[in-house]
Amino acid sequence: MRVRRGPIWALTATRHLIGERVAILLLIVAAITVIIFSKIHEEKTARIMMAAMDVLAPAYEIVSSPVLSTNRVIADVTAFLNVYDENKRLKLEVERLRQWQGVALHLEQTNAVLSKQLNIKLEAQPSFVTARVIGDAIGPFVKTYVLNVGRRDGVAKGLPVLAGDSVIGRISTAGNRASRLLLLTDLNSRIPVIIEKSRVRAILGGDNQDTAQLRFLPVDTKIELGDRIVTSGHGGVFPPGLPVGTISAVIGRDIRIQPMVDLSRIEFATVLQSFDNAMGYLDDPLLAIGAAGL
Amino acid sequence: MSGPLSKIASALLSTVPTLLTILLMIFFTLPIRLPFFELMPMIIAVASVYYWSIYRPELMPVGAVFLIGLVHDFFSGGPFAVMALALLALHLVTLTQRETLASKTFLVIWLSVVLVGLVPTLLVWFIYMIYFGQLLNPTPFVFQYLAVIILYPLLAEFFNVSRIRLLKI
Repeated sequence: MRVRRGPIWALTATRHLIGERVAILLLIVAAITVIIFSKIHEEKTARIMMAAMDVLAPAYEIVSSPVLSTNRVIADVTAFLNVYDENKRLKLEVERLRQWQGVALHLEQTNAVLSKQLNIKLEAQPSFVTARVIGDAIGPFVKTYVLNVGRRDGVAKGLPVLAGDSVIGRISTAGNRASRLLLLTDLNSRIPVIIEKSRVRAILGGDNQDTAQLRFLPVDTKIELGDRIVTSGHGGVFPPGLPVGTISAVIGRDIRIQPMVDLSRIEFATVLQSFDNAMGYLDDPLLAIGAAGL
Repeated sequence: MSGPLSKIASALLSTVPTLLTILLMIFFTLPIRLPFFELMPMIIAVASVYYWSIYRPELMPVGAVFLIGLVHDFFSGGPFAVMALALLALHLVTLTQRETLASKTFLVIWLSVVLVGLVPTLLVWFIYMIYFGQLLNPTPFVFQYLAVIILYPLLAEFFNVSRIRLLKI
C-alpha cells in the first residue's frame, strides 16, 4: 500500500511546518492549563460537562435505543449457546433456594410476631427512579455510565445506584436530564462496607479493574473466599445491608471483590432517592419483581 | 476548477477526516456490550491522528487534533483535556518524522505504530497518575496499547478508502 505523493502536499507541508509547530506547542500549553484548572475546580468542571451532556442527552438517547435490541440479540445468542450448562446450574440453584424458602417463611412469621410484640413502626417506603444506561464509559481509565435521568427526575449527586438488589455505584454528577453513574470499580469510588459474616468494617475501593479492592481491613481479620460484602451504612451515603459483592481472590494483602452483578452488562439501574428503610425496598414484592426483570 | 462554490466544497471536504473520526468515536461510546467496544474511541483517535498526520497533514490540522481529543475526554468522563494533550504530542512526533514515514510501505508504518503508540499511552498513564496522585495498574494501558497496534491496519484501511473514494486525493 504505497501512497501517492503529489506536488500539493510537498508545498503545503513546508509552508505550514513552522506555524504548525508553534500552534501545537500553544495548544499543548492550553491543554495543560485546562487539566490543571479541572483538577483545581473538579466540581465546577464536572458540572459544566454535565450541562453539555444534558444538551446532547435527548439525541444520545434516541441513537442508543436500537442498541438495547442489539444487546438483547447478543445476549440471546449467548444464552442459547449456554443453555445446557445454564439448565444444570439453575436446577442446583432451585434446590438450594427451596431450602432457603423454608427458612425465609419461618423467619417471616417469627419477625411478624416479634414486631407486633415490640410495636415497631416501619418508616416510609423508600423512593427510587429507574434509569436506562445511554452512554458508556470509554477507555479502561474510567468506569462510569451516563444515565437518562437527572435533577428533574429527582436525581442528585451522591445517591446510591443499584442493579437488582445490589449496589453498583453512586451518582457522581447530576445534570438536569442526564447524570453520570460512578461504578464501584472506578478509581474514585469508596464505599464503606462490612464483611457480612464477621461484621468487620472495611472500605471498598475501585482501581479501574473489573473487581474492586477491600481496604483498611484489620490485620488479623479472618476472611474466606466467597464471603459476602454488604454496605455498612457508615457515612450515610449508602443504606446499610445492601449486597455489594463477594470475596473472589486474596493475593497477599490485595483482597479482590467480585461485584454481585456483571457491571459490563448493565442496561438499567435503580437510583435510590431516599432510603430510611432501604431493606423495605427489597421486601416489597412488586419492587423485587421489577428489579429481577432488569 | 475554481470559483467560490468549489472553494466551499473543498473546505467542506477538508473537514471530512475530523468529522468521520468524531462520529466513529461517538458511535463506540454507545452502550453496546461487546468485548473491546469500550477501548475503541481511544484507538480510533490515535489511529486517525497518526494516519492523517502522515498522509494528509493539511486535513488534520492541529486544531482538529485538539478537538478530537476534547471530544474523547468529554464522552469518557475522565479528566478533561488529557487525551487532547496526548494526541497533540502524537501529532508533534509524527510531523517530525512525516517526511520519512510518508514514503515507506504500509508494513513499515504498521511497525512504527509499535513505537509511536507508546507516546499517547505512556502520556495518558503518567498524567492520570499525577492527576489522581497514586500509582495506577499499567495492565489496562498495556491492553489498550496492544489493541491500537492490532487494529491499526483495519482503521488505516478505512481511512484509505474514505480518502481515495470520498476525497479523491
